[in-house]
Amino acid sequence: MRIRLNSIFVDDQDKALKFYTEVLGFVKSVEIPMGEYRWLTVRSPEGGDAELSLEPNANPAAKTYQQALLAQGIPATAFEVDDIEEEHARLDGLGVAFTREPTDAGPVTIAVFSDTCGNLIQIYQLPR
Amino acid sequence: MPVLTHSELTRLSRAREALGLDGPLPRIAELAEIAQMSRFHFMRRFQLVSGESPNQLRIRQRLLRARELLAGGHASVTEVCFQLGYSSLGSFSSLYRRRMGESPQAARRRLWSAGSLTPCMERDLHPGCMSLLEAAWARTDEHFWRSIRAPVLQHSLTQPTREEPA
Repeated sequence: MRIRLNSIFVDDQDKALKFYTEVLGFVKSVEIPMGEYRWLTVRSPEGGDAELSLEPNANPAAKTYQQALLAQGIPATAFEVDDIEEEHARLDGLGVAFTREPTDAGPVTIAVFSDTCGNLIQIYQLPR
Repeated sequence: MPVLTHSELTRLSRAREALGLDGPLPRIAELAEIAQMSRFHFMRRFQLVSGESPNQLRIRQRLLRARELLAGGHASVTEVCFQLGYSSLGSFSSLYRRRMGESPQAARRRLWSAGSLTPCMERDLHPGCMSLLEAAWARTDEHFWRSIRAPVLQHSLTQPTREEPA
């Protein structure tokens, strides 16, 4: 058994694909039209075999869950980076809104930003 | 200092929820009051979190809702138009075409002909990740999954009923 698929609710798959590829730098992996939705995944160009599904939040339960996490400041997921200061500077330059700038959190350094699709995303850097 | 404090984020979330889909568009002053910010500050902060203005967000969300209703096939374009509170079919159709890339009539035909996501899924139910995955699997053949660089899908979704040739 392996963990190779994760998903995140987004309020608009088109908007999310744009943010996750053009801003975060992921690449589109799979896109299959499903009526008004798509099976849509992205992956990191840096390797690894994990996929992130950009899942429509059309279900009211998903909307409620997503809004509650956002309002409470809880990240929906987290991505690992090699150099969090560098990544923070790059994203800040692209206009990304951070709710937490790079902060020591014990052995790791974390930062949190808005993905503009209704989520907070945490990035973290492990000790070198 | 972060761009957004937790308190600001919470208040902006309340304003975002207050935008809603139905009824008249709340005035910016009302939303700013919910967010406990000046109008100028609210607009700047809202744009940062959502990547668009309250009005743009609401238009986009309403058009996505229209697309869902059109895909359901139970309502005509006119019914969808008025259900979402647009007062003019012409304006609605023009807006839909401009933002979504096709007319609502064409969208209704295309989406409805696509059929249910899965045989066991009612059209009225909203799909989750796994039901979309199941539908994706059902609609494509094994060659497709083997041709893409998606190990998760290659390993997890191709039907494990056949032995690989030696």
